[in-house]
Amino acid sequence: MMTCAQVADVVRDHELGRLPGRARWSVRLHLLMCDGCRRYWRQLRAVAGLLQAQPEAPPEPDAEAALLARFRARRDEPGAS
Amino acid sequence: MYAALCLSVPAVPAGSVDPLVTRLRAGDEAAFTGAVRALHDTLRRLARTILRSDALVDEAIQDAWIGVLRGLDRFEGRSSFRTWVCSILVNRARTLAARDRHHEELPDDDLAGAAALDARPVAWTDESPARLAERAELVAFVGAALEQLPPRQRAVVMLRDVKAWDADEVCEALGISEGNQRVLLHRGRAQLRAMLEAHLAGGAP
Repeated sequence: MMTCAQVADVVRDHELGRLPGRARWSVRLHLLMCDGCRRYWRQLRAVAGLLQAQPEAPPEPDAEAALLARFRARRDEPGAS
Repeated sequence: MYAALCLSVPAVPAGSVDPLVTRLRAGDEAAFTGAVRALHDTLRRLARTILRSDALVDEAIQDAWIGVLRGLDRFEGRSSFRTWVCSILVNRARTLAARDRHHEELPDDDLAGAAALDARPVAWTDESPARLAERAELVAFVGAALEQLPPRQRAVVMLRDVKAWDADEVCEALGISEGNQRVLLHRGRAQLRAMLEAHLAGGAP
């Protein structure tokens, strides 16, 4: 039987399907029986959802163009970069 | 055409040659631009955990990509492409930080002592991830809370919980042990959870 602390460590990996079979079943069983861990997991997911909703800035067009020029130079003149 | 590439650069199991790397070696411009765009936010946030000035952050990102182009033919695929790019960025940012005389070293997180276990969590007024993520004010609050975390916790939480990387990739990109990764993640998450909990309890509408 996994402890709450052990479950807390891997509950997101479990959600993302990253645990091997045995651990997956242990976590599932624990979550079934433990209100506290189910709540903790829900709250972790809520925080992660809010983090993932952050706006992302694209690269500056000038910086991107400069890199693309480097990329072309490397392709067209191997060994030059 | 490369819309799918722009959305994310996926993890590819170590050992197999990432198709993206093959396309880059072949000189595929769309693949390159797609990768630069897809990883920009990750690289920028990572560099900002090491460097304070925006100008140096931009420089580190440019340097990292130039390093990627130089090393492309030697890349062996032992780590994922994105892990490799990020580890180059981290090295570059550290070099720039050491060189900058005006740079004030960002403090290392204190990892002394065992991570305290969370007490039994109390209920929030709303715990639905989907509903909470629709509240712009909460998104901004958590974004600001993340910025307040100590730098290494911020880097780990960003990669694990914002970008959904797995633990091995994070250890490799940041050059930290599995144990440190776990402690940093646990502390960062605990801090964010506590801040959001206090905010929700503070009578936010």
